[in-house]
Amino acid sequence: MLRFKTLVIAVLLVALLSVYGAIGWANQEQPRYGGTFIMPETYSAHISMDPIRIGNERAEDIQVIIQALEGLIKFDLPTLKIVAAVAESWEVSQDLLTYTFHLRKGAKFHNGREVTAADFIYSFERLMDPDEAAVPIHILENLAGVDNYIAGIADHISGLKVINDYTLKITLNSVDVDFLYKLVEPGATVVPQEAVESLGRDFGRTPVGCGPFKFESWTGNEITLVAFEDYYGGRPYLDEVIYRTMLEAGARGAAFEAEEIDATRLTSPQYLQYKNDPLYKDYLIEVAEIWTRNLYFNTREGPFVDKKVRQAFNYAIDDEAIIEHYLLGMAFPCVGYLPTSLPTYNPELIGYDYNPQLAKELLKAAGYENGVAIEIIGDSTSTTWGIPYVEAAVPYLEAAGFKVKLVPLESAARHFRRDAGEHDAGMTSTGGLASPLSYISVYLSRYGRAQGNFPAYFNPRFDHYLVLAGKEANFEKRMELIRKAEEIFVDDAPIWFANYSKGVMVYQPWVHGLEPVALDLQYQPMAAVWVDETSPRAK
Amino acid sequence: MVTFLVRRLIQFIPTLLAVTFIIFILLNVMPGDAALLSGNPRGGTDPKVIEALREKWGLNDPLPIRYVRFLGNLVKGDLGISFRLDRKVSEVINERLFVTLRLAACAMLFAVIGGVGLGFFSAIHQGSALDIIAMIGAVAGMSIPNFWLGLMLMYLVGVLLGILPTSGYGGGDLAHLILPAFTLGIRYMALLARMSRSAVLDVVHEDYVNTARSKGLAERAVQFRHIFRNALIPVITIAGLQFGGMLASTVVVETVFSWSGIGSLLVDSIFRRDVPVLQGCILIIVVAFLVINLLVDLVYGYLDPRIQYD
Repeated sequence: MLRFKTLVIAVLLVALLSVYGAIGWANQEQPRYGGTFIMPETYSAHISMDPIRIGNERAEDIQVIIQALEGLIKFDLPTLKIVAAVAESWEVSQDLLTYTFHLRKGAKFHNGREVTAADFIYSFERLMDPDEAAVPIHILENLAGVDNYIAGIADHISGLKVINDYTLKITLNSVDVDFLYKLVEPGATVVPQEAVESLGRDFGRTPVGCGPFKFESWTGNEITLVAFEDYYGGRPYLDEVIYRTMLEAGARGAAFEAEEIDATRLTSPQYLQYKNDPLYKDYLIEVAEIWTRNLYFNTREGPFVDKKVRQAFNYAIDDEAIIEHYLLGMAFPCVGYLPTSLPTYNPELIGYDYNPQLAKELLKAAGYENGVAIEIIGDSTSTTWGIPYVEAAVPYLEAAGFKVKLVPLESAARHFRRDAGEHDAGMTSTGGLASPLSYISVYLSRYGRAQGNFPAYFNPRFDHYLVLAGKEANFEKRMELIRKAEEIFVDDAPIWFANYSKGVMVYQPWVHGLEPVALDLQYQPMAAVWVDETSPRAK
Repeated sequence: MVTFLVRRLIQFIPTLLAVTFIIFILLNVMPGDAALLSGNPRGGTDPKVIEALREKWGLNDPLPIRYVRFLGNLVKGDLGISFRLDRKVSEVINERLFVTLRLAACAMLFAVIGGVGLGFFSAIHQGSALDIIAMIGAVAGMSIPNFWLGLMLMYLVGVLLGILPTSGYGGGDLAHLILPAFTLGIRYMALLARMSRSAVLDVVHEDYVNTARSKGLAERAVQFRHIFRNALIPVITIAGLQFGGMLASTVVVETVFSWSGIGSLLVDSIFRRDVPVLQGCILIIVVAFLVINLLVDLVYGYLDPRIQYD
């Protein structure tokens, strides 16, 4: 009898505990509205929030703009799939030249007015207006009639047509399988004419869009966004998001420990610290960001004209050892050029392993038996894509026979020398595009150094595959063509494949919903983020 | 006095003209321009975009025309439009200047009170243990790099003790000001402590000090009325010059503590070749130097009645 009682009590206890646990679990997982999130901005001071004033590498501004401005379509940031935004659906014609977008009813600007197809015409023509001297004009360059509009022959772009308030038709000059990827860029977001005109220059300070958050203020180092109650997707959980420019990693670390900020991107020494921290090791987000750190060779002049010398450089360096010991594991070794987070990732691709003997042989075959002197330009401070990173590779290079002279330069001087071809090689980081085709197409021979083809690479076979890929509507076939181009690129070695970026962020225990965004860890979809009541800023 | 002031203000004009000329030439012979850096920080911008921006900003015009245009606008009080920020330069500077002035003024106040007090005390007690400790402290204060000190204070006071915010401007409250001002001021405090100590030691053995003592004045009166006041003249000169320099060198402290003042604006503008903002910032700093020097000259007259303004 006693046994039975004990058993009953035990069963009851277990049941009670599991119900309690389930409630606790449910509480923890149930998103909560309210609170403020403070996100440090780590790259450089903000410049402008006007989407037509920034290029697609301006991560410091884009991470804020994407919270407040939206276009026809957008990325689902964690997966980098293109999803509906103001347009609920779209169709592409058989010939791949006409795109018809169906806008959702009830999407509102922050000023309360409904977004219609005419607003897209205004925003797109503003982007291409020569008087605006906008930066991301590549987005719409291929629209039918854009040349006449720029030349002032036509008042409007003929390739843009309003069918009705909720239907927009866009016609292209030629097939561009990456057109939708371009429409995702901040430059293609929709803005209301009345706000642009009434705010004038101040539009870049507090722009008006139709995203989940609206601009409240920009004072000094802080940009404050507040929840937009009428967002078509429902109001975001957080009341407020504050972006605070904090360029000093030590200051971010101190602010994080003092609970003044809710998350922070880590540098490699901080990564080591938090990875081994009993509390915070469970609050780390790691992602293979789509950036390739590389050293572009001058393929037109000097020793690197010879492919053997370029390959020798790649074989000479133990990349894995540098990543492990110098970056403390905060990067991934490169195989080819396209990072592992892209759909083109090719595990069968054979890159350059560490083979100092082969490096020496290749140099000897190139006629540099007694070594070769090279000059490398680069950013003076960056440990992952600047001169400090190359410094870690110098002992390997010297052992193989390269006599290295490092020239740290600030950006303007560096670009000037690079574009003029006054260098043997230069360290950099390239990428930041979710489309593999765009990612690798910067090396098409039609582009000059100033346009991103830093090594001034030229190979008609490489061009051929990419041109085919640019016309291939079938996704899998397209990826296969890009992989073929990449194989040629890797064999030609116009660059040293140094490392792929690894982004790491640590967040406070009360934060929920941050995602490993491969495009850039700072590009967090803040509308999905929430804080529980243990946050000091929960109210 | 009035003639002196007017004369000095008129002297500002050629100085400012020379400065604008030098800034203009230096900024325009640097390699690279703002258009090249406007799109993507690592390059790769469409040449059409670069050309359109150069045209918009007038970078294709010959240098003399650009200089005359700059001077013409300057006379009208117009500093132009920032290339980088697409805002009026006067508006940008206005926003940042107050932040830096506040930081520099507090740092200087702390440096003057602490430094002069310490220096005076050390000199009066020359050779004592306290003097030696104070002067070792002064050497240390001058040698500690302020980014390191800033981070250490941030960790100690902000994280471990938790009594002050680690960084940020915080809307301008006092709590956010203390650590940056101390970090910026410590070097100047150390310098002023050493300066005022040696200035006092120079004065201590002067005849008029002996006279004051022999006529039976209380030691305190001798120290304050005769020694301290005379020793202040070189100290004020140094403090004035340092203040002007401080305005231009707050960038490290601003960066460490995540403030956005003139210092960080200046550095960002150099890297982005934002010539209008650079011209504006440097002009403001030069004017600040000139005005502070003028004020220092006026203070001399108060401290030493023998100095006449005519």
